[in-house]
Amino acid sequence: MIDPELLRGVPSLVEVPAAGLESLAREAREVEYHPGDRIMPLIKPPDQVLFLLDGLVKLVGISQAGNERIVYVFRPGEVLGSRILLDVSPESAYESVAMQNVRALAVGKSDFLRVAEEHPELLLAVTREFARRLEGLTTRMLGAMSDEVPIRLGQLLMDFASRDGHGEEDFVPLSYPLTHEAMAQIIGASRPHTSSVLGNLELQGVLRRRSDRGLLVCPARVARMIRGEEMSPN
Amino acid sequence: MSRFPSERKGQTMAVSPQMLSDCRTLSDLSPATLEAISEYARQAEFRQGERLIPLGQPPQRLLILTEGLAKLVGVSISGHERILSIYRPHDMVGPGVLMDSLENEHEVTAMSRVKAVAISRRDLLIIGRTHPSLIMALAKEVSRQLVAMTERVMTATSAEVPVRLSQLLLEFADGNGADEVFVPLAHPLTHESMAQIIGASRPHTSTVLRDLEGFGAVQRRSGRGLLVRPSRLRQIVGDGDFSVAKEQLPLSA
Repeated sequence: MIDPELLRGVPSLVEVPAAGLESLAREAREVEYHPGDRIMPLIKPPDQVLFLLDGLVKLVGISQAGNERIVYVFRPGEVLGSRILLDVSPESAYESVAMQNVRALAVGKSDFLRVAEEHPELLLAVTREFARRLEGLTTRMLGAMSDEVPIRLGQLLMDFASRDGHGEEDFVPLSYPLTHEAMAQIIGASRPHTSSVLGNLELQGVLRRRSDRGLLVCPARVARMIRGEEMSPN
Repeated sequence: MSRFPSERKGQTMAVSPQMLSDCRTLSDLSPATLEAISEYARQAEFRQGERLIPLGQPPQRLLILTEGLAKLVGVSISGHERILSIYRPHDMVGPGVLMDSLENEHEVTAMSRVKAVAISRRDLLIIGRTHPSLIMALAKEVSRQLVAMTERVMTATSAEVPVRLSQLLLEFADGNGADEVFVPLAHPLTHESMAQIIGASRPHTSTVLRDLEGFGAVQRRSGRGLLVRPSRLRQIVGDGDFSVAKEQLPLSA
């Protein structure tokens, strides 16, 4: 049993009535993972749903050439474990791994399905979250199939740029820090090439690198770069 | 203006519970739930090239295909059309209908004449309140599509064109045949469509198809579509490298 207030802080559950959240809270427990922990291991079907509170989790697979590829990065507020809904869960060639210290609320498969049956609004809310992720993956698929590395990297930076309280022309930090290695694995490029493209983007005035304090990016300039418009140095 | 093309033609085609139970997504639902859905659902028809879900507009209804093929299409920054997914009979189109707001960046277009069962967003939510098993059925279908899209992203970011093409052909191979024999595709695909799905040019896709034919994974039949040999395609996908697969092929094969 956890405090239902914790569930009220999960964005995808804001429209779920109190009774549904209280039922879910009775079955939930708080869990923590450390960087590198396998949250949902390879092949094995998931046996729980996780509501992510803190930290980043990568959905990662090994390419046929043996390289690790990050297919998706879960951020706080997102829900892991969609495959518990499948009657027959196919063996998966990817797994969910903590990228940082992670805190989440875990609900076992049978408990989740029972509460969801009693409170359809909860199931609807979680399904909306999965549909939102499907939309995000579809957009990522388009980028992966079509565009050059600088554009794929630009799209990733736009996705992670922290916009709160900033104008479009301001330089802003990423809402969650990503290493060059992680960026490379997400966009499907090598780490050296990714660092080299980051250097070029800095020369174009699209971003600023700050040693040990992560990147600053200018969303408006990134957007112009993605659209292929002429860039003037800042 | 009517929302359904079928209604525009003066037809208000109702949907029977039996027709609904034939849809994979809904097949496990109770007779009472199917009856409830049939009161709201309508048949929709689309001509080839007609948009099932237009760009930039949030989907207003859920469609479950009963006949034909439809493509989920996006346009890359460089202006190339890319097919991100192909919907086949039984597939659900437009799960974004469940979301309150969605900036729809992709559109769904009929590749052939398409028939579908259509349920509006409003009706879905009304039925779901009294029949939560409908929401569960949709949740399962969204989960299935998530698994499929995750695998496609993985392949698109990591594999070379022959491997991507082999994986596509495996996905479309008629599953009723034995693994070692040549089987047709369950739904025909043009070279242009294949190219747009795997993110390669049409000429390069045709060249790779010829290479796959030399490897014994494909047989091209003029005017009658492809035959594919699942075991050979699986070997290429498993090796992850067409040149490795070719080296491993016994000379007698």
